[in-house]
Order: sequence, then C-alpha cells, then structure tokens
Amino acid sequence: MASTSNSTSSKIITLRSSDGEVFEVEESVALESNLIRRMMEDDCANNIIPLPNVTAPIFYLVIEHCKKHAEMKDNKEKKKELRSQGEELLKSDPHTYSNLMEAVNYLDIKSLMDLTAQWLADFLKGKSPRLIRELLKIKNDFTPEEEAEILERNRWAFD
Amino acid sequence: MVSSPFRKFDFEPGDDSSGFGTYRQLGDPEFNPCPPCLSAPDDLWAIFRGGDYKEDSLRFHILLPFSSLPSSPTSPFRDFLHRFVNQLLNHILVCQEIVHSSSVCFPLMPFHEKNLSSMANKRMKNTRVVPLPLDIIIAILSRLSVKSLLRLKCVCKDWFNLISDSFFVHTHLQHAKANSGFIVEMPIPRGKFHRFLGEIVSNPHFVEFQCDRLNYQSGSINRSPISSSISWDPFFFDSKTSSKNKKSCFSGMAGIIGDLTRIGATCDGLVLLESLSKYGLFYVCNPAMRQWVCLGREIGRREGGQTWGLVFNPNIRKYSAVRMTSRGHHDICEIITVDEIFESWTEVWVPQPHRSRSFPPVYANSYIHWMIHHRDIPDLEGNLGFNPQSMGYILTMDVISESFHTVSHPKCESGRYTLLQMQGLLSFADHASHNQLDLWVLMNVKKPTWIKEHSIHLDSIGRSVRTKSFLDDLFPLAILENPWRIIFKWTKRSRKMLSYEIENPSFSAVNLQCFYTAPINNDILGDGARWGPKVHANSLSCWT
Repeated sequence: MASTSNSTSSKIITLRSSDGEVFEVEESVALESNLIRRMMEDDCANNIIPLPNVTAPIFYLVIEHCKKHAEMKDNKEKKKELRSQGEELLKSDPHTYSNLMEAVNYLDIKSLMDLTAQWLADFLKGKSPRLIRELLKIKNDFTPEEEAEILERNRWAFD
Repeated sequence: MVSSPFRKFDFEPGDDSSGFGTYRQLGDPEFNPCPPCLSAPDDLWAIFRGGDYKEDSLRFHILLPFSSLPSSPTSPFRDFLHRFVNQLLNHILVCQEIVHSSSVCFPLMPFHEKNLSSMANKRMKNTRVVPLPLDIIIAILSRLSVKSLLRLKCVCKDWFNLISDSFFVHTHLQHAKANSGFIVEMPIPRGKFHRFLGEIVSNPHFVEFQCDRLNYQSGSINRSPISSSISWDPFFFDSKTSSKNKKSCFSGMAGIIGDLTRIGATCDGLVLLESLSKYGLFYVCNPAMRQWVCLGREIGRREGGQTWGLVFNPNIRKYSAVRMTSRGHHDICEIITVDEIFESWTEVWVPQPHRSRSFPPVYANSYIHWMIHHRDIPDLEGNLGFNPQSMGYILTMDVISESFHTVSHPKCESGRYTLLQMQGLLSFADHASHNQLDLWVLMNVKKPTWIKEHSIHLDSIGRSVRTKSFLDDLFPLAILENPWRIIFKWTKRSRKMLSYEIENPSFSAVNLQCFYTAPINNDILGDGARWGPKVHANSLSCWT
C-alpha cells in the first residue's frame, strides 16, 4: 500500500465502493460507521472492506460530512456552515441527497443520520402534500374522495 | 501501483500546456467535492460542478474511468475531452475553444446554474427514482411536528398508514420527548372568570391552554434571563372534527368549557384534566392533535384529596388513568383504561397502613410511584403518630399487574425528598441539606437498586443565585433532556423557575409569562406542589 504520503500516525482503512473505487480512510473516520465497526470487530475486515451498496461519489460525500461533523463539535459556526451546505445539496440535487441518506443509513452512521434526517425534516416542514409528492416522487394513490375526507378530518392543520 | 480503476481527476486551469493539473486524492484536506450535478454516460463517470467561478468560467471536477486516462497529455485525449464536453453540454452551451488540454474553461455566459440544474433535472426524469427505504422515511417523519404530520397524512396511503401506526407514534414520541416543555395552567382571575364564562356561551368549543417551551440563558442569575414563551394554538374542543361518540359526549355535557378544569397528570403527550365543577368527571386529551374524550361519572359531592396519574400499559398498549383518593385514614386507588367508552373504575388494593402524600405520583417505565407519609397514621386511640413501617419506603404500583408493593428508597437524613422521572427511570431527589441535593436513580424496581447520579452543591456553584436552600425555597419540578437540566420551582418568586444544567453546573432563571400555581405556604412540600406545571411534549399519542 502506497500510503506513505500520509504523515499522521493513525491507522488507515481501505474501503471499496460498489463501483470498484478504493478509498483510504483514517480509522477514526471509518469507525463512525457502525457497519464498519462491526465488520472490524468480527475480524472480517482484514484487507479491503467492500461496500456493495455505496457508490464512489456518494461515499465522497459521506466521508466529507463525517469529517466536518467531527470538526463541528462545539463549533457553532461550523455547524451552521455544514447545515447550509446540506440544505443547498437538498435543494439543488434531491436525488443525490436521497442517495446520501441511503448510504448513511446503510453504513449506520448515527450522527449523520440525525443530521441529514433533520435537514430533510426541516425542509419538508410547512410544505404542502402536493409539493412533497413532487419532491420525493411519491404517487398519490388516494381517490379524490378519500383525500378530501382525510383533509376534512384535519382541516385545522392546514391553516 | 495504482489499484483503483477510477481516479478523481481535477482540472485545474493552468497557464501552461504541459500538464493536466494535479491528481487530488481523497484524504487531501484541500479536496472539496461538490455534489455531482449530473451523471455521465457509461464511459464517463460523473461531472462535478466546481465550487468556485473563476473570472468568467466555471470549474469542473470530472471523474473519469482510469482506463480512459492517458499517462501523458496526448492529442487523442484532448479530442476525447472535446467530444465529451460537446456530447454532454452542447444543447446548453456552445463550447468554445479549449485553451489548454489541462483546463476545461467554459464561458460562463449561457452556462449558468439554472441551465445546469435544468439539465440535471432532465436527466433525473429519465432515471428511475427509487423510493426511499422505510426506515429513512421514518427517520425523517419522526422529526416533524404533529401538525405537519397530520397534513402529510394525505400524501399517500403508505404515509397515512405509517403516521397512524403505533410503532411510528412511539418513534415520534422519543423525538418529541427530547424537546419536552411544560404545560401550564392559565390563571383565570376571579373577576374575569364570569366574563370568560359569558364568552364561552357564544363560543362553546374553546378552552385555552398554554404550553411554554423553556428558554433560558445559562450563566449567572444576575443577568436578565431571556423570556420567551411560545404560546400554542388555542386548543379547540371542536365538535365538528370530533367523532360521533365524542360529539354526543360533548352535547351531553352542555359544553365542557363552562367547566373549570385542572391538569391532573400528563403522559406521552396526553393530558388528564380533572373537572372542578362536575365532580367525578375527567377528560383525557391530546392538545397537539385536538382530540379529547370525556370520562368518569358525575357524582354529587366533591371527593377529598385526590391525586391523578396517567400511565401506559405496554401489555394491552392502552393508557390508563389512576386515581388515589384519601378517605379518612386510608387511601383508595382506582384505575380505568382510557377509551372512547367509559366503563367503571376498578379498585386496586393499597397496602395499609401506608398513606400516599398529596403529591402527584410519578410514572416511570410501567411503574407508578407515590411518596408516602412517615407520620399521621392513627394509633388505637385515634391519635396521629409516627409510623415506622413507612419510613424509608415509597409506594409503587406495577401498571401491568395492577398490584402494589413498597420500594425502599435511599437513606434520606432530612426526611425531605421529591420523586421525579429521568429518562424513563424513577429518580429520587434527596434534599440532603440546605445546600445539597442528591439525585438518585432507581435501576431495578423488583430488586431496588439505587445509583447516585448527581449531587448539587449550592456552595460550589456560588451564591449568585439568591436562594436560601434546598430545604426552604428550591423545589425540583422535573428533569428535562437536551441538555440535561433540572427545573426548580423557586418559591420565593412565584412566577419564576430555575433551571440547573447538569453537565455544566449552573443556575439560570426561567420566566414564564403565565406561570401560575396555587399559592405556597411556608411548607414548600405542601399542597401547592400538586398543581404545578407538568412536563409535556407534543405527540401523536391517542387512546384508541
């Protein structure tokens, strides 16, 4: 492994994304993922850890977010910065955002799951059901009567 | 040497034509990937929008298959780049001459962000969008407010079922609890009360609740605290949106709003209200969902000192109301399942000679706990005396089996203690001395194991707080999460509460605009505590 360029003493873990790209990640970052932690504890991660459900560009995002999240602790400005980046991604490219969430969910990174879910929740707040259907590509499978009934039952919530 | 078939290729606009710019690998702190704005055809990998605009050009990061990367800048590669750029972007921009093979500089003009995203959207429409997995949907929705969720019920059938599902309700509750506030009764000054009643007649569906989310400022008490109370929507008992059963219940009561109620207990976002005019009736409502149900049977006279509890029975997945009434020298405990139809109270045998105190019981993890008196148990002659059997115990009921037993509590020298709930466990606050309060947590109810969780020393915090002591004027009301803090009633100032942060030991004052409790006499552990503010979180909980 030609990881001589890395001067830090921390251990480097090699991961392979679904499309075959190999990543070298510091152990402290990799262990944020409970999935990788479990694999390492079970000793089934001797060489390269395969991640069959994560593609390389998404994995880039995950790692960047992990690093920033680690920096962000006790730093309100960093927190704000990360949040605004997340929101921008959500607005500009919801598809990637949902891929990111899936990857975070698969890798089981609790801190990032909290963050990404909270951003999306904040984003959905106050949006109309119709807009949300469009944004998340959900098909409305109610008949107009059914929809009207549900709407009527919670009419005050739409004020 | 290079095991990866893919490499991130960063096109750095260089001013010489010699190289490609630099490879920047992951782990390089300077590398700052931007979201892929569109996915490329199969032979190309992805195109990343560069983070910055350089003069009049836009920078790109391009991911290329390693196989297509030449070892040295050759003209075939330059041609390839040209082709690639044209293929990908020709319908939104006319690619101008590429100055260097190492840099792809696009004129900014027609190529602004809007075009880029519309192109990305076009592409996305063609790709099949896979719906998010259920656990992610749950993670997102459980962070939304009750009002939003009621709206989102009409997104699709899956969401409708999910939001109504008990598992989801539970998950949502856990998030809601992390943001608990207090539900506080609105004072109704006596003079205004009649006027209020008069208004009620014309608008018979209206009851006002106010819930204050505590906002506080950490630090010294001498600084003026931030006072911000978020008032909730006025809470409507709306007959239009109620089901048939509720409606009849409503009309049968000739408008419950003329009814004066008091908050008896709260649990998981439900509130139990005791009627103060129609003795024997009580209401269970979810203020966030604007749902309510009237329970109980009216009786002619007012019963003596009652304490209420609202509990969740995990076995039958239902809520139950628990009522402890003191009659003469003994207590009667009654329990009833909260449901649309009121059946009748079931009496539960209370071990004698213990007598519960007039404090509201504390519900924690399917057990409900009462403080008991140490004295005033009559002897044979009827004199009130000291009952050594009750010393050092609390009275506990297992909600599932509906059976009582006593649990020994930590040694409490001063004899003054308060029961609280902390993270679903019973917590015992020992008013150890004037300047010390110890917080214990009950780990196992069956085999009582207490762990000392925290100890507050007034001396170590400093006397910036002008309070006397834990024995005289500080009375713990609740423990709230996020961050962990204990809320004290500050009896010297009737409209103030104190918040003590556990991890960063400091007091701060909490101002509530409408904080009202019954006046407190000299005895801080007296009756005044019974009607204090109750912890509440907006939830989807319901009784059906």
